[in-house]
This record gives sequence, structure tokens and C-alpha cells, in this order.
Amino acid sequence: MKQQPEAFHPNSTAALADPVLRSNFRGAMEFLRNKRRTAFAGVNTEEGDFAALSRRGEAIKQRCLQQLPELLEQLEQNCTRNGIQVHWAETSQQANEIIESLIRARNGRKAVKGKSMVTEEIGLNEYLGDRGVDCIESDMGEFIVQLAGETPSHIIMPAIHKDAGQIASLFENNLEDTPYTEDVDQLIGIGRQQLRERFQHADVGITGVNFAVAETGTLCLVENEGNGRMCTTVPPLHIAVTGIEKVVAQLSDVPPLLSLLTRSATGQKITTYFNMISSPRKPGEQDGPEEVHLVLLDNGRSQAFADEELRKTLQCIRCGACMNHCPVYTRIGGHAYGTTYPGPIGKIVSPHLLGLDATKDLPTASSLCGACEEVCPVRIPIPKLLQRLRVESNHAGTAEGIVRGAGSGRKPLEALVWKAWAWACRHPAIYHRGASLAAHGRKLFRFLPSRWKTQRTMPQPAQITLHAALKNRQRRSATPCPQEKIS
Amino acid sequence: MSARENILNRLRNGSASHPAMHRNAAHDACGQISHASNVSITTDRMRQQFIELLRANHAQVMETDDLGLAESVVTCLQELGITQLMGSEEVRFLLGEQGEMPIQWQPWPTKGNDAEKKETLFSRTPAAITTATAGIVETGSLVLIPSATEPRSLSLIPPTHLVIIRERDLYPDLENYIAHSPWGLSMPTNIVLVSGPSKTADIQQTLAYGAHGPSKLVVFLVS
Amino acid sequence: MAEAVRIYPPKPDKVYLFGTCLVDSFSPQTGLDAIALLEHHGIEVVFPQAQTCCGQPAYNSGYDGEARAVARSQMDLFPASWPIVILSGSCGGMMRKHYPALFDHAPEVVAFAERVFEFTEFLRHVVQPTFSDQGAATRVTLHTSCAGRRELGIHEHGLALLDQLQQVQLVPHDYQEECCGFGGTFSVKHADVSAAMAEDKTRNLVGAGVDEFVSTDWGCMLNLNTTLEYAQQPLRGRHLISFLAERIGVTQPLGKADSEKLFAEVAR
Ligand code: SF4
Repeated sequence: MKQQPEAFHPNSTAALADPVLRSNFRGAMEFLRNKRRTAFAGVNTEEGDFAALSRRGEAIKQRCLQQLPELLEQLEQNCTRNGIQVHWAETSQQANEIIESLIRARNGRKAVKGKSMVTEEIGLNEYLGDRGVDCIESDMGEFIVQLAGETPSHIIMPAIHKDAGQIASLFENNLEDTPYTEDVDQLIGIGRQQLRERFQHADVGITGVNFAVAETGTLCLVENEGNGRMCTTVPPLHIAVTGIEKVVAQLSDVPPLLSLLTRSATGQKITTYFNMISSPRKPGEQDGPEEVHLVLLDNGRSQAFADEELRKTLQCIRCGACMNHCPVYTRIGGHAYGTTYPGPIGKIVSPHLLGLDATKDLPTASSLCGACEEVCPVRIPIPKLLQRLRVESNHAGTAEGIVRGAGSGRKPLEALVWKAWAWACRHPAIYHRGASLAAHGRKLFRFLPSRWKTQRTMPQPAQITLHAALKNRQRRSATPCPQEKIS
Repeated sequence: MSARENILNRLRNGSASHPAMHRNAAHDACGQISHASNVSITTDRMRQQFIELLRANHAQVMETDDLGLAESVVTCLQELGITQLMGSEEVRFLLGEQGEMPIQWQPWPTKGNDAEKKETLFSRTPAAITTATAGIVETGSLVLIPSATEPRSLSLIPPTHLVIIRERDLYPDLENYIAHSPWGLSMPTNIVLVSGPSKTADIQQTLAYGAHGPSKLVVFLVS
Repeated sequence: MAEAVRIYPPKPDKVYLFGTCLVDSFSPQTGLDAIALLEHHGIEVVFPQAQTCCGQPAYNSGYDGEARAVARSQMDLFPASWPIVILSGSCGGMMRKHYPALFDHAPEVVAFAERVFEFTEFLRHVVQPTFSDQGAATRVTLHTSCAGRRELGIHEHGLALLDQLQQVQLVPHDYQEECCGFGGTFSVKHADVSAAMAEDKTRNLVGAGVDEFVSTDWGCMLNLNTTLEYAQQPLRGRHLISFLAERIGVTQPLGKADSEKLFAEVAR
């Protein structure tokens, strides 16, 4: 996939100017927020529903991350014992090469893919397509997006930016013998027809993983449609790809995380299918893939891991709740970010995947309102991580060299302004003289870039400052009054 | 060095530089929904909740007993206009003499290569029946553990899926079930939790059933 | 995230006031009203004249070093053990939540943060006043800063205080919990997105059909009032403190002539 987070500014401006896109997103976010709210409304624990559950989710993920290298080795060992072959990839390129070679080894030509953001991250479709392997997306949303030559705009609902009318035209224009219909049941029926054909004849099924259980060597997949099950059941070869942070220690870690994931993502107590795969087809079994492979992908994750604070990024279970509640995402949609993972999670994870140089506009694109942190089921302090990435981007940070591209956002003039500002704040006489003069001359905010003024007037300082008012009041008043010195 | 070594080394260095990430074991357990309170729910309430959740998720639930099972299945198929049913020999036996049933029993295709078997499953199998190993009350889920006699495809490819589950196999929640599961660390090839017919809301957040898997799920809850 | 249950001290005789840089420059009246309210309840207010800014602008922009230096200089101005009452939710969040983090949770900084109270929180839980509303019937809606809402839970405090005013009808607005789009330098660096958020927020405020809106943060209010002015909407926002002070009749408006005179004196 072409990643272009550098174009965040023009992309977001264009998105804001598109009323259809904005109303599609607003409606969809509304829908998902309500679903989530209802899903957590009925949960009662001693400590009170969401707070307690999310604290548990956080604790499990932190414990597992703490033992990440050991758990990955254990996962490898147990998968191998079960007959699942494990591969390691440091980069997207390596992952793609591994996958291609596995398909080649079986002379595969036709691939079906279950919904998986990590294969979007590595640009697998394009890579395989260029090498003669036809890779079809089978999740309905992904199928739509692929047909339109686009990328997902949401990690849970890939085609959320399109309405039924747009999908109807897309099907009519791109699928044979398909009349225009906005009837959703019919549209899904058309997709089903197209894709069942593909499942039946596919040489390989490719999926992501939601949780990989180290203790048992089990891959867990969460889905509603059944395409994930198709991809992992019908073709003779199944390749699962996952980021290294998806490993959990034991089976009992899964239920609380699963519950948080589905409630946060779509407001469901559980998805229609929860699929646990622990081995390829065993002797005597009638179906299922003959070979199962697991590709473990780093692609910058170990960079986040190296820093105690940034490591929290890896707690993410990819539920999408942060984007559903983000006021920025709600207005500009997913494509404007130019990254596989959009929204708040995208802003904190993309700098590790793509480098801070390419993504330096993302951490600043937040008012730090905290809506994301409030809903995150594993309590990732997203605003704090954004602030930290801003520090890294300015190169003022303590962990120099940890984040690739650190310092690339540094603007000498800006740095100088902040230095001067901080100096003035520590020299009250000067600060207050400046403030008072600005108040009188009402010029304080003339320096505001004209961009502030696109839809706002200039703020007007009051005629005198509070300091001045109080100083004077103290001088003139007989009654006890705010004092400067402590008596 | 291999990718494996490089990744693991980087992670180990990361761990070494921050060995004491704040963590507290007691913290880990907070928010755990107490099993004790769930166990005290009467079987009747569990049963009720299980049925309600499945129905809310668009599954059809038929309550029956051992004697009435075969008739329930037949009635259901007749209502759906289905005359042919695939399933294991065990289930066929459970449902009694095939002769008495106005449906054609369709065994798992044993002849032909994989492609031919797939063709049968995708194009000539309107319905299949399987058993469920357990039921999860909290979420209204059926636990299916496919086997040599009940392959994975049975609950996946035919558009209608029938499931037999016994009331005594209901567990309050997934954690509880995993804690009581017999497989320990050597897991079956595949375990799948099914909580309704296949569905999607990928088009304009409008729910549609029968995305890729069965569009119809009928559960026979046997007392 | 809103903090766990806070234990409140009994009503003190004296408090420090931290005015915040925005109140200082844009609404000295808010500061005067805060003092009047506290004095009205028998609390002496100490206003260290050397205070400037809490450091939040630098902190949010990713200049930790600068923020730390400013924070250090401000903390030094409040040596006595009195509570520090602050006239903004987001600055309150800065001092309560982020100061400790900036100084690695050094005990003296944690102790300082413990003494910080956002004004409405202090009023509601420490002063515990009973208001008698003296104003005419009016309809208002409340907007709180996100930091204040999510870090300190101040939305609750504002609502509880306003609820005491008999003649004031509190009207909710759509998407109340959504950000107004200010976010400090965000409003400049990503002005388009920020403006779109401000537009939506002002539309929802106007949609509430109120006489005015009140807020606990001048940052949000500058953003919203200038957006409303640009859109030629008559609705304006006022600080919750000034609104309260006026309703219970303790406000002492700073006249224009007065300010001119004061300025002349101060400028000398
Ligand atoms: S950061 Fe949190 S809310 Fe966002 S996708 Fe990840 S787990 Fe979900």
C-alpha cells in the first residue's frame, strides 16, 4: 500500500471539504459509539464495569509484554510441536518474501485473504499481485475497498466511508451482470456469491491473528462474517501473519481481552465466530489446511518496545474505539492519515512503523482531548504518548535515538520562540510588562498565523491584566486584599 | 544473524533496559467477574439467558428432549423446505431410523478428490447438522469442536446449520469453560465458538445475515 | 482519566489563587470574581504577583525542558501549605497530573499537585456554598475543557453548582463531551481541523437555544467566542465563575474608565 502520511495537511483539508464523507463518518461513528456504550452498560463487577475490566485488560497486556521475548519463543515452540510452522520477519519486505515463497512452494496462484490490518501494513496484495498471485479480499468491507482500488478507512469497518449508493454503483460498474441496487441484503448476497466461488478454488488462505497463545500454540481469530473461517478451512494452505505484540501467555488471558475487544469494537458481547486454530489437518481429519504457517512481524514494534513509556503502544488490541471517539478522525476519516492505522492508534503506532520523519504531522494533529484514552479497553495513555512523540519530534527528548526520525520535526524558530517564552515566564517583571503592553495595545495576538483566522476573529485581550487590576486594588483598598507577599 | 535472532535480541535489550515496568499481580485479577456468583444462577436462568442471547443474534432455538429431537429436526427442515441433510453417522443414529424421516440423509463425501468434495459441499449441500460440545451462557455461544466425523466444513459451508446441544453442557462463561476444559495444553485442531448465523454490518452499518457462512442457524437445546 | 475519589480538606482560611495566563490577559474580571466569591465565603485570597503561566503550552507542544523550567518557577511561588485554587480546568490538569510526571514524581512536586484545586471543584467540595440566585430567569449550557472533564471530572462540579441557581435553566447541548477544537498550538498547526471542530461545537451550542454558555476554561472560550463572532452569531460564552458571582450578587465589574486609569498607573 502506498503510505503517504506526509500529505496529512492537504488530505485532511480535502476531507473536511467533502460533505458526503463527513456525514458518512459522523453517522458511522455515532452508531459505533452508541453500540459500545450499550455493550458496557450492563457489565457489573465489584469495581464498576468498564473501569475494572479495562484495568484487567491493561494488566494482562502489560504482563505479556513484560515477557515478550520469552513468550514468542514459547509460542514458536508450541506451534512447531503442533505442526504450525513459524517464520520471523523484521520488515514488511521480509514478510512478503516469506509469504510469496510459501505460496510458490505449492504452485499457488489464487489467494483469499481474511480481514487483516497487518497484511495491509506490509502491502501484501500489491506485492503478490506484482508476482502473479491473485489475492482477493474476502471480508465484505475489504472486498468493497479492494474493488474500488482503495485502502480501508477504518481498522474494523474498512468501507465505512462509503454509503450504500456508492457501493451499489461500484458493484454495478465492476461486477458482471450486476444491476444497481441499494438493498443491503442484495448487495451482501452479491458479495457472497462472488466470494464463495473464490473460497472454493483458492490455493491459499491468508489471515491475521487477534491473539496468539504461547502456552498452547493457538491462533485466535475474531470475526462475524465467516470469511476468516473460510480462509482457514477451505484452502490447502493457511498463512497467518501477526505483529509480535499479539502474543498472550495463556488461554485464560484470552476471554477478558476478547470481551473487551468485541464490546469496544462493535458493541457485541462476542462476535459470531471466535476461531481457535492449533494445528493443520491431522491424520484422519476430513478437511482443514494441510499446512499452517505463522509469520511473526516486527516492522518497528521492537523500537516501541525499547522504551518503557512507548511500549504501552503495543498493548493495543486493535478495537478501533479510539478512532470512533476521536473528534479529528470523525471529521477527516481514515484515508487522510495516509497510514494503515488511522486515528489515535495510528498516530502513536505509525511513527514506529514508518519513522517519525514521515509521520511527524500525526502526533501534532490532536487537541489532546483525551476521548481516546477514556475508551481504550487496555488503558493506553494515548494523549501522553502523543505528547511524548512531540518531544521526540522536537528532539528535546531523553530517549534520543530510540525513535527513528526523532528530531525531524524540529523547527529552529519554533524552538527559539518556546525558549524565549519560557524565559519570560520565569521573569515576571518582563512577562507582565509585556502582557500589560499587549493588553493596552491589543496587539498580543497579532503574531497568530493567519490560519487561526480562517473561521475565527482575532481574540482581543482585556484592557488591563488581572495582575495590574490586583496590584492597584491592593494599593487603593483599605479592606484586606489579595497580597503579593505571604504574611 | 537471522531475523529471529535480531528481533529477539532487540526485545531482550529492551527488556533489560527497563526491567521494572510497573506491574502488580493483584492488579491483574481486578475486574474479574466472579465465578462464584455465576454458579449460583439457577440452571433455568442460565438456560433462559442462553436462549435469549442466541435468539437476539438471529439464531432459531428449539427446546426439545431426547425423544422429541428427531421430530423437531424434521419439522424444522420441513418448514425451511429442505429435504436433504448432511451429518455424521453418530447424529444419524441419534435421530433414529432414517426410514421414518422424510428427508434424505447425506453423508460426508468420501469419494473423489478434494476439489470434488468442495464442489459437493459448496453446491449440493443445503444443510448440515453437528453437535456442540458446550454452550457459553454469558455470550450465547455454541462451542464446536470439529472432528474426523464432524469436519469443520459442516458448520461453515452449507447455508443452513443445525446444532444439537445438551442443557447439561452449559457453562456460565468462557473463562469458566476454559478452566474446566478437558484438553489441557494439547488443543484440538480447531475450536470454534458460534453465536449466531454469519453476518456483516460492513455496508452502511446495516446488519445483513449470511455473509459467508450459514445464513440460518438452528439450535436444538436438548434437556 | 478522572482520578480516583479525592479526599477534600476542611474549608481553609486562606488560599492561593493561580489566575492562569489567559485569565490574566483576556478576562481579569474572571479573576476578580473568583476572589469576590471566595472572600464572600470568608476565605482570604493570596495572589502571588510573580505568577505567569503553568507551562502547559510548552508541555503540549513537546517542549518538556521549557515546561519544566516554567513549572519549577511557578511552584516556588506557593510556599505556604494553603490550597492553590486555579481558574482553568486544563491548567489544573497540567498542575495536578503533569507536573508530577515532569519531575519523575518527586515527593515535593506530588505534594504540590495535591494542593491544586480547579476553582469549581474547590467551591463545590471544599467551600460547599449554598447560593441564593438573584438573577432573572435565564437558560444556559455548560462547556468544559476536555482536560478538565477527563482529567479532573470538572463537568460534574460545574453542573452541581449551576444546579443550585433556581432561576437558571441548564440546557444540555448535542455532543457535549466532544472537544471544541482548541488544543493550544493544535488550533494553529492544524487550523482547518480545529476550525471544523469549533464550527460543530458552536453549532451545537447555538442549537441548545440558550441565552449564553458558560465554561471553566478561557482557552475553549477564546476559540468558541471568536468562532461565534466570525459566524456573526450573537451567542457568547462567559466564565462560570463570573456567571456565578453575578447571579449571587458579589461581582464588582471593572469599568472601562477604571481600567484606563489603572493601566496608566501600572504602565508608569
Ligand atoms: S489504542 Fe486502545 S482504543 Fe485504540 S484500537 Fe488500540 S486498544 Fe482500541
